[in-house]
Amino acid sequence: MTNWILQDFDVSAIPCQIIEFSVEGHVYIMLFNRVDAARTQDVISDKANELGIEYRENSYEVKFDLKDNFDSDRFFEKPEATMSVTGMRTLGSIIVDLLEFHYSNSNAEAYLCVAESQKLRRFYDRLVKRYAEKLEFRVKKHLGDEGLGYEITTPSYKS
Amino acid sequence: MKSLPQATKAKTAKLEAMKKIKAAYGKAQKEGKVKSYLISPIQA
Repeated sequence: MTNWILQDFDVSAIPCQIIEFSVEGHVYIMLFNRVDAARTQDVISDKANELGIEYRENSYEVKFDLKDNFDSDRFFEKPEATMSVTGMRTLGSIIVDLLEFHYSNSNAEAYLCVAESQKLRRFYDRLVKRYAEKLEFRVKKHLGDEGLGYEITTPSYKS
Repeated sequence: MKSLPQATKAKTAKLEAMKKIKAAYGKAQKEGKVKSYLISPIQA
């Protein structure tokens, strides 16, 4: 397994993290930002109402992309090369490890993410099925009209 | 005006958030305020 590079920085005095990793020569980033780092309270409330979730302050948005896309501002473009089945499994496993790692350091109450496509939705659904219980995370999936949204609540979620 | 489908709005919001964070990241880099750490994940 390759090392991860974690970069920590602030957006409006709210800490954000980018974690870089690679699978089969593809370099990816996972970006964690507290929800209020990138959205106003009004927007956050509207979004929570639309998705039928309760916003918690210590909630993070999770985004996942190729590093090349991030560096060149071509966010979320599909990769040109395909990945092997083994590579996809490794990718899934690392995504879960990174969530677990981030949670252990942030004590986040919830993570929010939006799948970029139906293909990624199926990929995320497999991860939920395989790992959510093991991590003691609860997942609300298929949120929104097109069902691409996810809310992952952790054992720290305060009811 | 016809409203955008939910997921389109969600994806647009996600993209806008990404742009904002990228801009903040670039600014922090220029100011030398990005802290980097090398992490060796533990093999299960």
